[in-house]
Amino acid sequence: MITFSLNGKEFSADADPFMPLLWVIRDLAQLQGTKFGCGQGLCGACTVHLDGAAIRSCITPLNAIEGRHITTIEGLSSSSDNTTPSHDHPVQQAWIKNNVPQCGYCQSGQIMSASALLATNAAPTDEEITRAMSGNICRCGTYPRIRQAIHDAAKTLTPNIDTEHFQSDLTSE
Amino acid sequence: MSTTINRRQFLQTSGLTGTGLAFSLSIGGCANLSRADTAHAWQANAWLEITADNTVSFYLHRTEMGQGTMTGLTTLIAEELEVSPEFINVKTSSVHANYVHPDYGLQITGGSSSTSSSWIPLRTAAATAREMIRRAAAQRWNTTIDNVQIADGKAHFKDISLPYGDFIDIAKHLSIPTVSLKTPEQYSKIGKPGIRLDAPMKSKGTATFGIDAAPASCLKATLVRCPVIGGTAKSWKTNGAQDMPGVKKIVEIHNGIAVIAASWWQAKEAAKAITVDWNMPPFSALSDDTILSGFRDALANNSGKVARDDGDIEQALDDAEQVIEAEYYVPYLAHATMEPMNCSVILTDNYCEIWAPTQGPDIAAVAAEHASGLRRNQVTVHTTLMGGGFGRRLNQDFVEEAVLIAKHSGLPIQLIWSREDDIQNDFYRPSALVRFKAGIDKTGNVSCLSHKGASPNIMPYTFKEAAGAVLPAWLPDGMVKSIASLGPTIYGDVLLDATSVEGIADSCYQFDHFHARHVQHDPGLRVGYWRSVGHSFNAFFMESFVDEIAHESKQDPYSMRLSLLSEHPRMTAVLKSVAQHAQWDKTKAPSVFQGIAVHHSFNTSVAMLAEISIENNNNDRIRINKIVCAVDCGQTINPDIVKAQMESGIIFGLTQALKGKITIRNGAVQQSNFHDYELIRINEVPEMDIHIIDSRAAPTGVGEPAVPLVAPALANAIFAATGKRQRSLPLSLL
Ligand code: FES
Ligand code: FES
Repeated sequence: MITFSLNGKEFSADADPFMPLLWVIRDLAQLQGTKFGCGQGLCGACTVHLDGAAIRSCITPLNAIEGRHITTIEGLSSSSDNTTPSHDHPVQQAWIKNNVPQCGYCQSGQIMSASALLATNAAPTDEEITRAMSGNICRCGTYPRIRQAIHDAAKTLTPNIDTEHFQSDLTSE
Repeated sequence: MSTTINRRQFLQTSGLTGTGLAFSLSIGGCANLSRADTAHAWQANAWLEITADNTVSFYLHRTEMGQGTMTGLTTLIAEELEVSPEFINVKTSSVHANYVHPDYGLQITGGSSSTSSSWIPLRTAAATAREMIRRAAAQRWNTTIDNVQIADGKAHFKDISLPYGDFIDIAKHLSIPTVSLKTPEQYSKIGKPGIRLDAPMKSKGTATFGIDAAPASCLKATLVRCPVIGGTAKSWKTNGAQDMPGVKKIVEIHNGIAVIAASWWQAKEAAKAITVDWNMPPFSALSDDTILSGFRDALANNSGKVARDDGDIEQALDDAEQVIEAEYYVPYLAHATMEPMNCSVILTDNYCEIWAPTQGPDIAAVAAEHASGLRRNQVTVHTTLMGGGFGRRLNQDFVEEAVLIAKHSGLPIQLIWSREDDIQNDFYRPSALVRFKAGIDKTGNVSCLSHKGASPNIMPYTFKEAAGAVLPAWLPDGMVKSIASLGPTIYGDVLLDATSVEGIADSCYQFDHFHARHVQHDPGLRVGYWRSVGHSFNAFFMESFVDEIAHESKQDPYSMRLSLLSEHPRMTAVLKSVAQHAQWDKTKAPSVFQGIAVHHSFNTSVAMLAEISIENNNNDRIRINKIVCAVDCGQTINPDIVKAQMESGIIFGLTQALKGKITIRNGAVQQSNFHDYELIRINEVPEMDIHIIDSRAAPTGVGEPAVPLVAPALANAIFAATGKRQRSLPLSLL
């Protein structure tokens, strides 16, 4: 039995210590917001927070997280009431405002990577966003909007910092 | 425009709840709904339903895979019904003849056509509902129709305002009026940027994809497969796999050994222990070099089928001052949807229920019917959200596998493919080899163009799977299978498969003498529809070769295209737009170069310009500075979704142009996951400058038309920079 904190609640898994966290979350804890994309740490679809840092749950064995804190997309917003926009994490709000998701399958992972970045760097530059987000593939190509949404979320988190000049220049007529 | 729904196509409630009003009409105009049908399942057959508690539901008949269909089609309803799109409760419709695509005869989502084929029918259904509410309100308030205002989801008269639900009882007894659709000046939602309806659930992790849709009773399954598609197990050993933790059963199906366990990881772990001796299929004799030489031989030895023949090509080539020739080649490509293939099945003796992320629910139903041995009316298909489709989910092999595993094991299961399964068991974008000739006359103008291409046709593979869905359900199974097996003969030897030559045979260029022909040559790797299909390679071929003609005949590539497209105002407009926004005419810095391309696909015109620079400080490596894109897709429903689809198509096209390559060794696909089948990541995305041409014309496709342009625009820019013409994909930036 391996016990860890999952979205603020204690969770005990009676499973092989080498079972990847991804399948513990999906098949045992029945939280399906975290996605399977490659199983090899190559795509980021399975990204969750381990003590606040973004990790790939598909290559993290259960025994590596004993006693530690795991946050998934379901636990990202501070409130358990996930039904009103005001309770969403600022990154989720920025995602919705920028119409980021297309198929949406990669987006839990993208949002977990982005929120981990903003937790340590409240106003990332384009360069820093690129570095933090390069492990997350989006086959639908939502990257320009992901970048914009991270800048937008940064503004809500630190309203005094002007990130305007980092924004990519996408126009439509 | 005024339009009417006829009585038979229009359903009123009386059966199930007795409280609602349901509106439907057949898109194809050929649905034959019996009363029994409507009494039993009227809701599922309707597009639009209003209940007494004022719930407005729209049964989405096309599948959302990221392209924005859910938002776009709901906006069409919202516009005419005078409610906000967010107010409408979007549900997924079931498999039914009413939802069959008018051009395909199948209930499929593909060909960038969901909006264009729904444009008139959906608005008509909503406008009819609105006018019936107005009439019902007039009756209730004892006034004339003109005195009732419909706005914000309510009927208004003097100072009374009541929601639609209050008028349902009267409305459902009214006759069906002829309605006028709004004119573009009256639009309050169409053409305005709005939020994507699916953005909140996809940002909160609450969206249910196929992989999330398994009922709790389902065990998890994985399949041990032959390294070459089509191989079968000669013999196999479990080596103790059946005793590993969580394992419930191990069964053989036609193409492998399935392991069923409590968790998918346990199934995968146990699968590693299994050893199989395979019967290798004929394709295992082939590798990249023999595949390419096969295409060469086919081009040299077969005359193929004529796809276009304007003027007299032989004479024109004879008369030419100069003849330009070139050979182009593209490899096979995988779709690599982000969500791997999966399907959940509950199967009993007389009932089969499946949950599948599929672009063709009716073809999935046929696959399940054949695999289970049940009749079609015993099969229920639940279509889920899809983590990308791009054409891959038009093939239902994963449904067939899942149902067979359920059948042989007697267990409810969810089959999940690994990424390795996905990359190595696709229906691939065809590889293709083409040869062009162009003649330049004495005045320096291009007088003729001749094309001959060799590639595997897709239709035989589709025909095999889809035949059952278009044939009547009462035909005996054996007959359906034998008709289906004719696919390769019909589309291999008898008919031209239009998708093999699309983008060339139907090119907008006005050459006096224009000849195109296609040789069907299938090395044996199965092929399928890949975002933009034949255009994905033919635009690269055509737009690169047209660029070659311009350079050889000393013409400006942009001006030459304009003069060859003088009769195509939409193509002309998009070309001019990119040239103007990218300042084609202006002198650039010495290290900056541009390439231009224009193409018409899915009834949409797109022009694209790639601007690159040579990085002298980085071994002269090429850097892509920006992509400028202009699109004319008619009236936009939601311009932000159009823009998102252009961004998406450009990035998909960048992966094709710079990375995409499936290689074959002894019949086996050598790539397996994202380390060797790479996709563009955020660090490789150039600046994008996207322009949408303002239009009131009927909407046309947006999901695919940007994809084909990226490779030729880039190849043409690389030629401008280096003088080297790259005639195969992927392109090299070194
Ligand atoms: S599923 Fe974990 S990185 Fe791809
Ligand atoms: S939104 Fe589809 S993979 Fe990212």
